[in-house]
Amino acid sequence: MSNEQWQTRQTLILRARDTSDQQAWEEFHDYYEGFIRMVLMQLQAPIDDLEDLRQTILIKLWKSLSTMELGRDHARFRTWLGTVIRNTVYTHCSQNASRKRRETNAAVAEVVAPDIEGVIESEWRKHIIALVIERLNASFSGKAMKVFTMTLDGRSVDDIASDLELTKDSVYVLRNRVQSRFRKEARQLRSYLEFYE
Amino acid sequence: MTEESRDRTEALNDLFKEAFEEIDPAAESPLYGQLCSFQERYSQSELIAVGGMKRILKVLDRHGNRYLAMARLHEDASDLLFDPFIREARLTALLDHPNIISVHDVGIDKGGKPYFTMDLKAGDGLDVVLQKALADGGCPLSDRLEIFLKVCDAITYAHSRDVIHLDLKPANIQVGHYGEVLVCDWGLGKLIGRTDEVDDDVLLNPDLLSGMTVYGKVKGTPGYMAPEQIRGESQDKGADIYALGALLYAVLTCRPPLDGDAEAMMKTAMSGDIVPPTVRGSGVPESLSAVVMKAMALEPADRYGSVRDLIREVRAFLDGFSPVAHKSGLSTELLLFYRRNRVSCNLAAAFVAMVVVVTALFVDRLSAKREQAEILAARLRVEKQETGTLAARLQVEKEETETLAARLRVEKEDSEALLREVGRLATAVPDDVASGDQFSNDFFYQLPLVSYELSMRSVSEMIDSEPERAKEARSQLAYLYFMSAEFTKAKPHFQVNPKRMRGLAKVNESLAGSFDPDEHQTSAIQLADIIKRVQSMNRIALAGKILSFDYASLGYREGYELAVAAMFGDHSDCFSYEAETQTLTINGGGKSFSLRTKEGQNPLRFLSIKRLILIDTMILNSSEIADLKMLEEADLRGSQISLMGDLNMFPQLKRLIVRPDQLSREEKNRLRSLVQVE
Repeated sequence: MSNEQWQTRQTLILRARDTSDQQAWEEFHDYYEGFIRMVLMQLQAPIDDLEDLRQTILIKLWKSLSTMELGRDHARFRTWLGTVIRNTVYTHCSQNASRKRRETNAAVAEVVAPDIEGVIESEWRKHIIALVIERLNASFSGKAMKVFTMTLDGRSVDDIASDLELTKDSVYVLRNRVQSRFRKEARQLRSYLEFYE
Repeated sequence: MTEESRDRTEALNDLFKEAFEEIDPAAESPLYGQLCSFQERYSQSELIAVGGMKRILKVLDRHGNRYLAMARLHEDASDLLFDPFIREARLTALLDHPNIISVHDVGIDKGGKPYFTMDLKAGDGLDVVLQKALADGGCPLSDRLEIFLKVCDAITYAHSRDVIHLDLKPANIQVGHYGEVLVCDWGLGKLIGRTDEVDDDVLLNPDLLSGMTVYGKVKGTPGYMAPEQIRGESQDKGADIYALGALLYAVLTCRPPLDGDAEAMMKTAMSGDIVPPTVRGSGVPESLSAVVMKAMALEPADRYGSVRDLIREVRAFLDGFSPVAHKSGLSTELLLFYRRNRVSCNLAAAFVAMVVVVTALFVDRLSAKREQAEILAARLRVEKQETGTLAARLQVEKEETETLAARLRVEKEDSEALLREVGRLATAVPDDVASGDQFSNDFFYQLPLVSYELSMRSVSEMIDSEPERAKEARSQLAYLYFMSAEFTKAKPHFQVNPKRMRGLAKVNESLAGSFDPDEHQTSAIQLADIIKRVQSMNRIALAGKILSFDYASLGYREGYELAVAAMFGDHSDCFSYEAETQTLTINGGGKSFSLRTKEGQNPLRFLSIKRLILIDTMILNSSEIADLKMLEEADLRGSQISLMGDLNMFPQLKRLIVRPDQLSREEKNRLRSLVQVE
């Protein structure tokens, strides 16, 4: 998915309100699948049910999108994500309770731990950062990305300049350009994935 | 998770957080921030010029980040000048033309003083440019005229917006290094014909003017100011045209149009007593000088009606035409025409020259041809005449030829008749010889062989075609064979008709036995014998024919004189011939006999006789010896000849021997002039 499509298209969440939009569904699936898996793993959901849970959560999110009022609020998006994931995991665990009541009690207790929103937030952030880096790699030269990662690693401008045989000014320019782009991409991606408008 | 990747995650998280924090626009857009931060728009001001009313400074426009020219009033200027100053700025701002300086900003500074900013162009004022040109000839006239035309363009535009400048002079024209020309200082400019005329009236109040003269300047510049402007009368576009004329003056001569101090200049301007540019500057074109004089006419009505007209005149000059103001003669016009169309003219001239040369050559050749043609015609006329003459002659000749042909036809008929006669006669058996042979004798003696042949043929034909007359023909044949001495051949034919020619047959009989002419030819002696025999039979005509035939077929032989003498029968002894000296002596012995036969033939002609001696003969007439063509000497003493007659009969005769009394005196005298007479 290219940058242009990003800017011209309606946000994915808005499109997802039309549950019959197959293309939007596929895109939604691609974006959220990995993230939900990571959240589930952080929540230590049973490995055997991971795939079922993930699919269930995705479908529930998809369906609830058509009725949800999200607006332009990152907090509300996170709350919604958290609620759907938690409820699903909880329901799943209670359904299995009759079979394995003993073990499950402990599991459910963990799953419904109150810091689920914290988990979601950090995982979502990681997810967005990964997507942005992917995009930066696609649009910047190797040298610009090197300058960027070396800066992330805390290397000094002089150090980077001598390492990459660049002038200091060039290092500054490249660094600023990639960082500014990082910020822009992050903002856009979150708008796309979290907002209706 | 390693130390490094944790750091990185931290940094990324920070960056991620930053993305959703409040952004400082200045940090994101430094220029924007810069622009926001400026308290003062202009800085680094630097004085570059001082004018009558204002100062010009070079300033840095921090907003546009560029240098501009800023106009300010003098520090101590009256508040009354604020409005005229701003008015100038707005007036200039009104004009949007590449050759008019642009105003960028008009405003009030912190001190409450008005200012405006304009383009700052590297370059000099036109006054400096002209001075340099005068000093080292830097800027050629054509370049200076281009500058002038750009000024004119600017003024044309301004006039179209009803703005007049009123202070045009070289110092107010900025010339850039790349041909940019800017008309500056519109401080005296004004709008004409507009409703805001009131403003102008306000501006022109005496107080204001006095305020301006504080700086020692009149309104306008002497030398470039129109007379009506000096007088303070109403000003119009004409004043600008006057100033443009003065400017052109300066452009042409590189000197101000008027000399002297301001007072003197104004006086000169008012009088209109301007020295023409051609007088003051060297190499000033006459035509452009005329343009200057017209533009600087004292009366506005006498000047150019518009700047456009002025431009047209200068362009005309640059394009090689003569301006209207210049009353150029035909030669000037032609010269200019040549200059503008040098290549075309040269080509045309070359072409015309070629045409002339070719035509000349052609005409020359034509006349030569005509001369030739005339000569030919004359010759033809002559030839025609000649041809006419020739034709006439030919006509005559043709007629003659026809006459001749007619005669020939007659003669031919005659000869044919003769031939027929010959044939007829030849075939006729010559029983009666005397009468029978008479007709054909002349012909036979002249052409014996031909006659013989013809007779032979006709006889042969007769034998073949008329058998009933064969006998007769055979007799004829016997006669012919006898004549040619072919006695053996004649013999059988004689026998066909034995009763006829019995005498001849007998002679033939005896001769046929004695010799055969087929085996050896008849000798002269034999011939003499045959002739003697025939003579003795009194067949004298036959004897003459035999001799003639023999002579024609065999010619002279030794002893031929005997054969000839035999012809004379009984008188044959009288002839003696000496072959060596070709002398014939005839001794008549007093007897009378003729040297000719009955047929008029002279047998002596068969002998070659150079000398003839006649002894005791009875010969009376010279015609007796007329056939002796070879005769050179004749001894006629033994004859009775007294007249020689026509000497043409003896073409070889040289000597004539006669008795003293033989010839008459007249005859002797006549002969003496021709031959020797003894």
